[in-house]
Amino acid sequence: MKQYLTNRQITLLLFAVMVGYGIVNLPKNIVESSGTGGWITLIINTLFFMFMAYVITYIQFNNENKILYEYTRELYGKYISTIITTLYILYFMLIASLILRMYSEVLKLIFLNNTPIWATLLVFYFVAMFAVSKKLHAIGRLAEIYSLFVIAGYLFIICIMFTKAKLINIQPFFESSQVSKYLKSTLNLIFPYLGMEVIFFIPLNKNNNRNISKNVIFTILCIGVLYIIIFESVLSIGGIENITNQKAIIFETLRGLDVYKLEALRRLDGLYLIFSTMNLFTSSCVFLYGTTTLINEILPKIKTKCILLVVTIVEYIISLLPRSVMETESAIKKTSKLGMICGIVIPIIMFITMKVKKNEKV
Amino acid sequence: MKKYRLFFIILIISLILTGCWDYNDINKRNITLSVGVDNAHNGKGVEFSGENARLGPSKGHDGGQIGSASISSSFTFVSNGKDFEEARANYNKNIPLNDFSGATRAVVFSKEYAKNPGIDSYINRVINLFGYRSALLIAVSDIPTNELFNAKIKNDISIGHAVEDTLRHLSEEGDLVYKTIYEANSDILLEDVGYLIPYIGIRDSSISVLGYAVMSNDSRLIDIIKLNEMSTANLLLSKNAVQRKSYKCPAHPMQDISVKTSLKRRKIKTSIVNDSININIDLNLKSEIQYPYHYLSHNKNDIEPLEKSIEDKIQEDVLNIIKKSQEEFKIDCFDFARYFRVQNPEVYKKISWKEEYPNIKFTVKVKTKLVNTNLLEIYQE
Repeated sequence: MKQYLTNRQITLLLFAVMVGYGIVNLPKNIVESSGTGGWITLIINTLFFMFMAYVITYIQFNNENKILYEYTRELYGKYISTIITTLYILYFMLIASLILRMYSEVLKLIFLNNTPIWATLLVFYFVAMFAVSKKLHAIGRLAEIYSLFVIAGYLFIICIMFTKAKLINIQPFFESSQVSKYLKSTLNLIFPYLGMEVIFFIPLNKNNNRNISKNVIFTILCIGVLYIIIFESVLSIGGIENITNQKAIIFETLRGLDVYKLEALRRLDGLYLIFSTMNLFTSSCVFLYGTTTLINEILPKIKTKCILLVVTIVEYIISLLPRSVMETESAIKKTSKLGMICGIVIPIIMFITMKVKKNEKV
Repeated sequence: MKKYRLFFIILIISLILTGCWDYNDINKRNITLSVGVDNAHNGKGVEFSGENARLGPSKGHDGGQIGSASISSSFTFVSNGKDFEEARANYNKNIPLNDFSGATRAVVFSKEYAKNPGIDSYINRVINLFGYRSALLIAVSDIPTNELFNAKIKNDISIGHAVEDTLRHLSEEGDLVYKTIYEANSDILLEDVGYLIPYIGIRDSSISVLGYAVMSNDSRLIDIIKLNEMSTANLLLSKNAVQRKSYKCPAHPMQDISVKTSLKRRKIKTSIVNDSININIDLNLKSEIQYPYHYLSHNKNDIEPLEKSIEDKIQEDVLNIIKKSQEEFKIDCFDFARYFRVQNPEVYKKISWKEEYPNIKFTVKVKTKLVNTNLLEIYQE
């Protein structure tokens, strides 16, 4: 029997997936491509992805109780549907394994200097596999609890960061000579907004998820606002020079911050580590679940748990494949291009197909 | 089967929960409290000195819990080498336990080391290496750091604690602006500017702030801003600058009045007129009479001239210290470059701020209002 999630669970799950790894280097990516006026680029991208949220939820909502493989088969036939689903499987597998690898590298760089990468990854995969084995309801509830903690935690950290902010660092807010740069850099900042496509494997129900479109669009708006305040808070502390010269910039900025009066919470980087790990863990669970479910749709005869075990092992191996941090980074960049196809191109094609078919019927 | 599964899960979780890979109990760690960096081998090498914590069981006093480990005192270390790596390797040979640098409170550079070769390499080391905190405070000492850390002080448990506590409390009161390694790195990366860091020494067996060390754009010590000029420099740098000074009362030449002046708002406006750069600084200050030196009856007509004399004095001091930075230091150490870059981004990209800085025309406007006379009665007539 299909399991459904509530609207709140879906929006918080979406938050976990999109914010997950996207923010680790977000301020750096923004500053490098559009300087202190990066908030304009973020607003443009947020508006575009609010439209994409509408597109994706429209497709899913109008194919009630179905997930990607089922309705693409109805729309395009078995072969194309298998190709599309395989593409999504490939994308989810790659992105989950690579961001987990990258996050483990960041952890190694900043906190767990002597811990081998395979050990950190093993813990992540082991726990994620256990969570996914409990099916969609467990993931929904996990996302609900974790994301609320993460949102509260991030907001707390941002508030503290703003107490140390220097207004001079975030100016100039807007340079008229840089408008073309702001527009061009929208393409460089797509990665943090990817992840919405996970809705394709969450079946929606017209009774349970009536206002899902509005909720998801509102979530994207909130994520956009969160991105802007994270960007401005980091920029206001580090200034443009520090941000462009360092890796894992949020960790680095928090490491350079000592809020003397917070006593036990002085080390904000430790606090951020807790929340970002919770966030990333949720997102890896969602991706792992998505991969398993989609494979299960194509190969219904094989037991879900067997698929889950194989997928986890394969993802673990993929995570260990890149030989260096640079290789992982370039692999993430390449995979995010695949993400653009899965998160933007295919949904728009499906949306148009559905609209055309609907008109034909009328 | 279910029982076995539970058993395995508990076993694996208990293995994972034992802690970090390199977990070591606190009493099996060598905790560095402070680090000093100095020249060695006649300037051809580097010397690390500093303090490590001596852990002992707390006896319950000073707020410590009985039986828990606490820092009871510290012991000093010195190690030399031709570069940081060699000095560090020699340091590792001399400590009995694994080093833990995460609790370091301050880094002090000797005056000679800050002059030549400069402090940027050490800042890079801390910024990039695992285990250090870039929120560390930095200072320059007037004596070799080895001497500094071996001095006996009476008012704190270690030199590192004393440096941190002194700098922080002065900063909270608006008497000092300190820099962390992270902030100094930001100035270094801006390339064309200098920066100020606290200049400290030991006076009367206590850590004492002696002024600001003026660092050039390549992070070398070029001059010192002395104690009597610090409060003026703070007006240009600090968010909560405060001055406590006595002023001659213009209406009663024999009378001195102690006035506390605090910064309300600082506005820095930059412009380009006829190819030359102008910077206008507006200082809006709040003044409070603390007490008169002698008993005299004051009325409201005394107030305005006093405000005027405060404004004139501060304006003169600020202009003098800016002039000094232009003529003697020849470097912008008051962060004007950031204001100029924000207000004229296109021009900033084309010019060399360091070369332009000595020719900039500064205008300083000081405005103050006596908002409070404390317990002193001011008569209407």
